[in-house]
Amino acid sequence: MNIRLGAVLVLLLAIIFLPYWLYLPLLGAAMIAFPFFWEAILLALLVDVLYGGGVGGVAQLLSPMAFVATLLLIVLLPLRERIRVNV
Amino acid sequence: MKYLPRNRVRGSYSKRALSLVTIFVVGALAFALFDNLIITAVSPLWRAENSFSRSLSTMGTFFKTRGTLIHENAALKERLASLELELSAFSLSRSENERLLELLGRQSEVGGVAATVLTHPPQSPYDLLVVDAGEKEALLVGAKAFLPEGPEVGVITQVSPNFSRVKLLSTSGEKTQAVLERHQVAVTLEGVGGGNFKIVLPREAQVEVGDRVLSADLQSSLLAVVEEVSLEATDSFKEVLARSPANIFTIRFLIIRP
Repeated sequence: MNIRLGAVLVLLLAIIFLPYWLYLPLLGAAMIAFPFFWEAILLALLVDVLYGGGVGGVAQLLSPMAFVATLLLIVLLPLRERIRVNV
Repeated sequence: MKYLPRNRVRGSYSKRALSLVTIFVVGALAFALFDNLIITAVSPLWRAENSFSRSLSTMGTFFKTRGTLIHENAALKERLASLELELSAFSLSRSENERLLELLGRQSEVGGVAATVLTHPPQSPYDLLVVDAGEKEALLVGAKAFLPEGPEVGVITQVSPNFSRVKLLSTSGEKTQAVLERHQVAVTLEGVGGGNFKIVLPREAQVEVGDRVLSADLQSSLLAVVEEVSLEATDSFKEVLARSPANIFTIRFLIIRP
């Protein structure tokens, strides 16, 4: 649990200070490494709020980064069951 | 060997998937509500980071060798001479432009609101900038953003009380009407991201590396400079790659004009 919280904090700082080609792969890696990493959706929404067109309005509910993160997590759910990687 | 019961796995999968979708929807609504608050909270961190990175870069000069400095000095003198030449040519065309504007009964716009850039690519995965001026400075959506040196770089797409978002002209898929200075050919400048543009021209059109692309309005501000021209023997069109005169990765200040 502590590792997971630490990872979320590191990702949060990375999103605020580091270039996207660093924090996006880190986010992807965390989604694979941690089971049911729902925090990735909130972090992706943060990316959209800070750097994208924002997430205001119904049209922007489909904010690209968070939408992709949600899809990836849903796809990863059965895959993780099969790989059985547990952190 | 033991297997998980199929029904249980399927049930838990759909439950988890549904909860992820719920997090996405609720999160999007919450973030939409606190959009301004989040950026206001993060702004001081960005400001601190900007001043820290600037002081770090000035510290780097302390460690340079004498040889490097002599070499750099010579290169800068050369660059200064070429820029002085360019400037003299620019002032001639500028006065000509102002004369034309007077004939048309229009006045060239000066002034504008100065804004500090809080974030720029590569922090942002999109070609968007966040600047520290907003409604309080009377900025409006659609206002144009210029570099202090003159070139136009983007358009304001969102205004909040304390900050605004600037969509760069080089944003992927963004199309801007422009003019190729060499023969005053009207072109469509298409953004491909990272401060780069693509122009498709007929095979016969003359264009060379270094040619300037200007805005199609009366101000004719510099938008891009041609970097590469590619043409295959069988093509009926040539593809021109142009680059924004501004380094979008290091922009510090912008002038916003309506």
